[in-house]
Amino acid sequence: MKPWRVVLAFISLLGLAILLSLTTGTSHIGPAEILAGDPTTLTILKNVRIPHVAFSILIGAILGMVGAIFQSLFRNPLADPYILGVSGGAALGATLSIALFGALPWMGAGIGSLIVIALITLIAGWSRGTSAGFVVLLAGVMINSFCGAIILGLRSVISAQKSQEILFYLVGTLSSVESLDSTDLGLAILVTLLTLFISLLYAKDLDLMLLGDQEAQSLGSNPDRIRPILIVVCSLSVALAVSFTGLIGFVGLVAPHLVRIWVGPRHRLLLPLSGIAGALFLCFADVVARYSFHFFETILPVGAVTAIVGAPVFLFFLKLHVGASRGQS
Amino acid sequence: MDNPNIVYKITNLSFSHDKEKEQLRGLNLDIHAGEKIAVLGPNGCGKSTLLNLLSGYIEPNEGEIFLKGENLSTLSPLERAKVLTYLSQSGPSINLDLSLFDFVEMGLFSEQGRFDNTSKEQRERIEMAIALFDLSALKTRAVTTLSGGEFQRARLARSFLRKPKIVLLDEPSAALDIKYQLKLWEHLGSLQSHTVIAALHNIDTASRVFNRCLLFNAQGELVADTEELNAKDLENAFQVKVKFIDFQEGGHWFFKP
Repeated sequence: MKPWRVVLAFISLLGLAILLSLTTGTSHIGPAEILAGDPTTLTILKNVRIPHVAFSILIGAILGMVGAIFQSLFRNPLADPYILGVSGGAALGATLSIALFGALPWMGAGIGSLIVIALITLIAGWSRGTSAGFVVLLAGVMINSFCGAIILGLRSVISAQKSQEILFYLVGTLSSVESLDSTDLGLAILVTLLTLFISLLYAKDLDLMLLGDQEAQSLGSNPDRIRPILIVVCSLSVALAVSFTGLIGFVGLVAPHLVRIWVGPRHRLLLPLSGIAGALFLCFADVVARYSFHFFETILPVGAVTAIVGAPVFLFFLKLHVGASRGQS
Repeated sequence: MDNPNIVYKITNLSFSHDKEKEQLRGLNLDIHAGEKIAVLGPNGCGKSTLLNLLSGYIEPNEGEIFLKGENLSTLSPLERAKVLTYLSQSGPSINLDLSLFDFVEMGLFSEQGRFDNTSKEQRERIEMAIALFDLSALKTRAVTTLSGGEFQRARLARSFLRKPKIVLLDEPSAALDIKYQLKLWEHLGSLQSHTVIAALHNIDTASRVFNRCLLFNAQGELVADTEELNAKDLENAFQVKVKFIDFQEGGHWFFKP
């Protein structure tokens, strides 16, 4: 399919998702209600719906782009910030910041995500063979469990109020963005744009890195210099996302795979489109989460929705990956 | 003042992956512009290591390599890629659906800016490089679906996409059938002013296509640096009996255990 058609299709779908997100929730808001200028309707729009739309798009875009970058950096189609444990590290860092200082969750999240990615990079160096990808994934699962266990442990030893505050990091919810202000929104926009800029700047290098470090170097790229830059920027972007919404998994896995089907693996299209696809996925997941109110009389956490979709997708690609590895040996 | 005709100056070069066995030891060489050099020797003697060193991918444990008067280790991968092309021995393992055209296009990295599109002229060059190795019908195919020989031809097409004056090739004819081996040697012959350094196993090809041979023994020592190979040096390097038989169409080296 022509790339511009894919871009147009994704942007149209995103428009639809935004429209659905603005109108769907515990109460329906249609154009007629908005035009009527009812103050309650406008308050719901301003305090709930618009922040949900804005942050679902920004966080989804960050997770989608970072997922695609991690998959190329680790040469592993199953990599994603959640599966690699980077999100878990960020959540633990944020939790520790709240438990110890009662503030600065984003700073703790940043440090936590950097420590985990350093650990993952170290572990990736243990095994250079075909099993390297699986070693990294297993390590990620273990790190996630470890971080989750510490967060749960912390919850039971700190005050009830802080404990409630911490819970959301484990769950992954967009309800938390309703309390964020315009500075937070500005920060999220800035980080999304930075991730996009870095993605486009190094898109050709990432193309070459798909061929391995030696090939990339012989063609003129410098993986040893570029890899740390991308890892630090991506980890800090994920940390910001986690500090706003907690652990939302699988967006970074599903979005790039969906995009590759139509535009292939070249990063110049793959990365920005993975951002749009991530935004689309999270925005739709948020719509589903809020629509669930009509069935369960409670709003599902968006992290649960992304995991319900993402986990089977992960298993599907795991099967493909195992099949491909066997074919190579 | 350095001789401007010297492309590579190698002084007292030694390299080992581990302490127990040195791949190369105490190598001193001058390589001149336009030379076609075959690097020969038994498995593990350091042929690929020498090419990896000359490409700048690895650095020597001892000694220095100067590329056109500049210490190779001070050049960035981009600076190196602008002046040389290197086909390493082991091809990349790719598990993504990258088309053959895209794969060859990646060879343009060093001449494009980060945000540049591929120009019409560059596109035509890609088509020509693909056609040179009879791959035009396969250009939209995913490289993962190519046979070993087709993939090696795609790698060669990518190597010859640009025209840097230094060409490093590690067993370039591996996986190629006779037709494409001959095509490759013919193409190398047409690169008149280029310096070509290739690691090879075929001694006859080395004698016919290349005008200088570097012969290493299993210990990584240079036993011959010659325009014409002789039986004694070959026996010394490979530890097998060697005989040269002269036919009307050209001579052949024969080996027996």
